Amino acid sequence: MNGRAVARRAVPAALAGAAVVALLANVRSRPPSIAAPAGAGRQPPVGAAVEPAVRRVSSTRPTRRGPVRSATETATTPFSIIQLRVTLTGGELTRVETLELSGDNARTEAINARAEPILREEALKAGSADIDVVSGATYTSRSYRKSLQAAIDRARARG
Amino acid sequence: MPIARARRRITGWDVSVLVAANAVVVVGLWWRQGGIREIHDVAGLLTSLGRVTGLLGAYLALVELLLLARIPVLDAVGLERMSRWHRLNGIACLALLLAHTVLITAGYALDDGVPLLRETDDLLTRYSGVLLATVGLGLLVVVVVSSIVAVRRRLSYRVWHALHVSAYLAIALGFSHQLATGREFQGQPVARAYWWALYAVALGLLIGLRLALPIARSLRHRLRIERVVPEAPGIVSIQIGGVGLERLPVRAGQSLHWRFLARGHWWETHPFSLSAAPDGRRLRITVKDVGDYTRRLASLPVGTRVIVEGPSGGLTSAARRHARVALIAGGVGIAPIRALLEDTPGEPGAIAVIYRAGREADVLFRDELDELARRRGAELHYVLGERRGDELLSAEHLQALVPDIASRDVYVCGPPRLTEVTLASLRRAGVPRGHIVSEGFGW
Repeated sequence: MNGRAVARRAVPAALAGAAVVALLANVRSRPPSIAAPAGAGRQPPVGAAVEPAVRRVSSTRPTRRGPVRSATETATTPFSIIQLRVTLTGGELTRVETLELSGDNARTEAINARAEPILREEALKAGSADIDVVSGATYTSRSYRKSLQAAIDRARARG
Repeated sequence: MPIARARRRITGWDVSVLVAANAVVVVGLWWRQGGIREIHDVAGLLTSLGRVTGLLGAYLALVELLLLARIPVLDAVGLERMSRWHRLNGIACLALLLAHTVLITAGYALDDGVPLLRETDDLLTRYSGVLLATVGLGLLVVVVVSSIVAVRRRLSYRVWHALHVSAYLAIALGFSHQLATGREFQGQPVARAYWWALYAVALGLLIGLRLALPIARSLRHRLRIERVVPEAPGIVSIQIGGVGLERLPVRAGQSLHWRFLARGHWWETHPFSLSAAPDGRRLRITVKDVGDYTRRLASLPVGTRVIVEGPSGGLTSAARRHARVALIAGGVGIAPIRALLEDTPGEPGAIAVIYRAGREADVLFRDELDELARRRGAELHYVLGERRGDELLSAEHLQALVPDIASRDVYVCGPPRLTEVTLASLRRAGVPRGHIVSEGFGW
């Protein structure tokens, strides 16, 4: 089900005139404990929510400046799991999607839900993972940035 | 006839318990938000320890403020002990905050897989309030280093004081990053409220007890300098008059922190013991010329407004347990002892005063002491001699002067070294520890 949902979302990107590589689409549909090694190498907490708590897609900024590459990365904090997919167009960050953002309790989820749009917008503005830590969401911000950096690196490596 | 026990005061022990209880709560905040339970790697361990050292360091900084707030229930603790706590707590506080900084930076760098320098840059520029807190930490380092004895000696009081006062700013600068980045406070209204409350209590006590109350008292009692009297070469008494002073809660043997509202004086406060028992009409302090500030006190104009903070000091008659008492003074330590001689309970013959001074010319209040001793029926022993006479105030000497000294309350006040030597002699003379009340000065 996750895989299908993600595939549907890939359509606008394809319409932008480029091929979207959804590298880990199949891995995502598995429990996070398996998806984790693709990320920061940390094991997610026992009992963490498997279902994504937040699913949002960034506004697309279609450009025609060159090849479009995407990559997905997962990062975990001791308290939550974050999975991002980035799209680079002509080497520039044009799109950031939050595929999964789950916390181990309601409070963490609230913190995550508040921080996520800010972080996503900051990332698009900066065009990189070099973004401010959102006040009151240190852990979320740190793993968001880590996952973002790794995804960007991975997408670049595909060039 | 044993003297009735004074009402129970809050002691150093009670205060330690209160401070420790809050420290436990602070560590509890950290434990509740993971503590060291959810650590999977070295980076996580460093970060977690960094969090708890930061919380405790911030807490000790507040404790440091409270030690200076002249809290009335702490007045019996005594300035010497208070200043020792202040020193130790200050060092512990800085050590924790430095550990916090190093641990967090190293933990994050390890976690991000970047060099320390790059992580430092990231922390300073990308984390809310961390730059301010780092400036604050820098100030605290300066404050502590400038208070190391060897450094302190090379600084004028004015410079040292200005540096030391910047600690308030340093503590304020650290506040914003605690709530903004501390995991313990994210989405935790109770933890946030507790943290705010700690700061509010500290700030409230400081403002209330060091600003509002002293100013209100100064106005209500119309405290002004009445006379400045030279007592001996380099020693001057200042008499402060006012109204309704019987309601000022200071006792013979205690000291107040004095602020004289004259040009060049208003910005600093200094503790001086009362050198006469308060009589409701006037207070008197006697000051030895030991430096720039004390020298300038002699030229304070009559009529200068005075603000007092405090009182402090446990050298009062509230500590009396036995019918007989020996009062031992060294040098200018005679000031509070002289005040005690006026007001401490005792039948004629029950009070003995031993006054150790360098030379005949150094003896203060000679006439006043002789007169008071006559009135109270007290024995008065002047012990004169140069500094190195170690047989003076030895156990044997004390026993010769006051044969039943082991069954008396004993009050000791003098310069630190003399106080120390005298306390050792008293112990050798068989005076139980619980009989002795002492205060050194010149800390």
